[in-house]
Amino acid sequence: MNTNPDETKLALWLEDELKGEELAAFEQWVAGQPEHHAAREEARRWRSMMAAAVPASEEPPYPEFFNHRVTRAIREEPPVPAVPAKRGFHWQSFFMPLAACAGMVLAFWLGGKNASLTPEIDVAGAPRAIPVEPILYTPEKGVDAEWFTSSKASATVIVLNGVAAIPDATDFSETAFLRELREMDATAGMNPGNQAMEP
Amino acid sequence: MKRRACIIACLAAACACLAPAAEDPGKTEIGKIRVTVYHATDGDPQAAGGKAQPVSKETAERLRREERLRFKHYRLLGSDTQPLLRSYESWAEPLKPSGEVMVRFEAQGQPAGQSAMLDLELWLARKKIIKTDARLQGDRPLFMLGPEWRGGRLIIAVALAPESKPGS
Repeated sequence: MNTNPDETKLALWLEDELKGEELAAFEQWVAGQPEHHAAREEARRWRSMMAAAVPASEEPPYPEFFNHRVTRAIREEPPVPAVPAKRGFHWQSFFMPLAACAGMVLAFWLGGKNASLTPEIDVAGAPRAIPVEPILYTPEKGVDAEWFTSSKASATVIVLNGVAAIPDATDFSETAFLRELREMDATAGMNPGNQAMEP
Repeated sequence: MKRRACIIACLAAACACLAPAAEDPGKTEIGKIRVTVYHATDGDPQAAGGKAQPVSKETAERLRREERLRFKHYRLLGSDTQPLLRSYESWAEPLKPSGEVMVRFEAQGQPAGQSAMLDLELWLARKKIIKTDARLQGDRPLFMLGPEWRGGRLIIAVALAPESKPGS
C-alpha cells in the first residue's frame, strides 16, 4: 500500500491550503521530512515578500469621479439611430454610370483618332522616312555580309566576304545564258533601247 | 444517241472554259525580277571568256560610282528574268545551266508601284550563301559583290524588270 501523499497534496501543503483531517494526516507524514519543511518555509517567505511588494488590490484614483463619469455617459448616450431606409431614386444613382460611359466613349474616340493619324506600315509601301535595314543571314561558315545603301550608285549593296572563290576552270562562256540582242530589246529594261537587259 | 453525244460535248466545252478559272491564284504573276551576273576585274577583261559582253557605259559608270564596286572592267556573263508570283517562290538562274549562281526569291507583299519587298536568297555552287529581305525599286537595284573568279569578282544584280510593252 502506498502511503505517500500525492504531489497535489504536497503542493497544497506547501501553499498552506490544506485543512482539517487532510492537514493532520499530511503533517503526520511530513514530520520526518525536514526538506519539505524547509521548502514550505521558503514558500512562505516568498509569499510574504511578494505580498509586501505588490498590493492585493488597488483602488482606482478618484473612484467617485470615475464612476460619476461612467454613469453620466450611460445616461447621456444617444439612442441608437434607426437603420436608414433605402434611399429612393437620386440623381447621383444615374449620373455616375452615365459619366463612366461618357468617359469610356471619349477614350475610345480619342484612341481611334490617334490610330487613324498613325501611318500604317505595310510591307510593300513602308514609309520612306523609316530606314528599313534588312536582316542578313549567312548560313555558310566563314561568310559574312555587309549591307549598305549607295546613294552614288542609286542602289542597295551587299558585300559578301569569305565566300569561296569559284575555280578558274569553271567556264561561264560555255554555260552563259545570254540571249540575242533582239530578245533583250523585247524584254525591255530601265533604259529601253540601250543595253536594256542590265539593271 | 445523238442528243447524248451533244450533252457530253457541251459538258466538255464547259469544263474547258472553267479550267483557267480554277487555276491556283497563288501562281498569279505580280511582277518580274531580273538577275544579272557581271564579272568585274582590274585585270584582263578577256578572262571572262569570249561570249561575255561588255556592259553599257551607263552601267559601268553606275557601278564605278560606288567605291566597293569599282573595277576597271565589267563583263556581262548572264541574265535571267523570272516572274514574281503571288504565293510561290521563283528561281533565277542567270548562268544556266551551270547552277553556279542561283537566286531564289519570293514576294513579301503585293508590289506597290515600282517597289517590291522580296524574301531573297543567293545560292553559289548550290549552297545557300545569304538570305535576306530586299526592297527593290524601279531605279534602285540590289548589287551583291560575290565570289572571286579569274582575277576578278562576280557582281550579282537583282532588279525589278519593267513590264514588257505590248507589241514589242
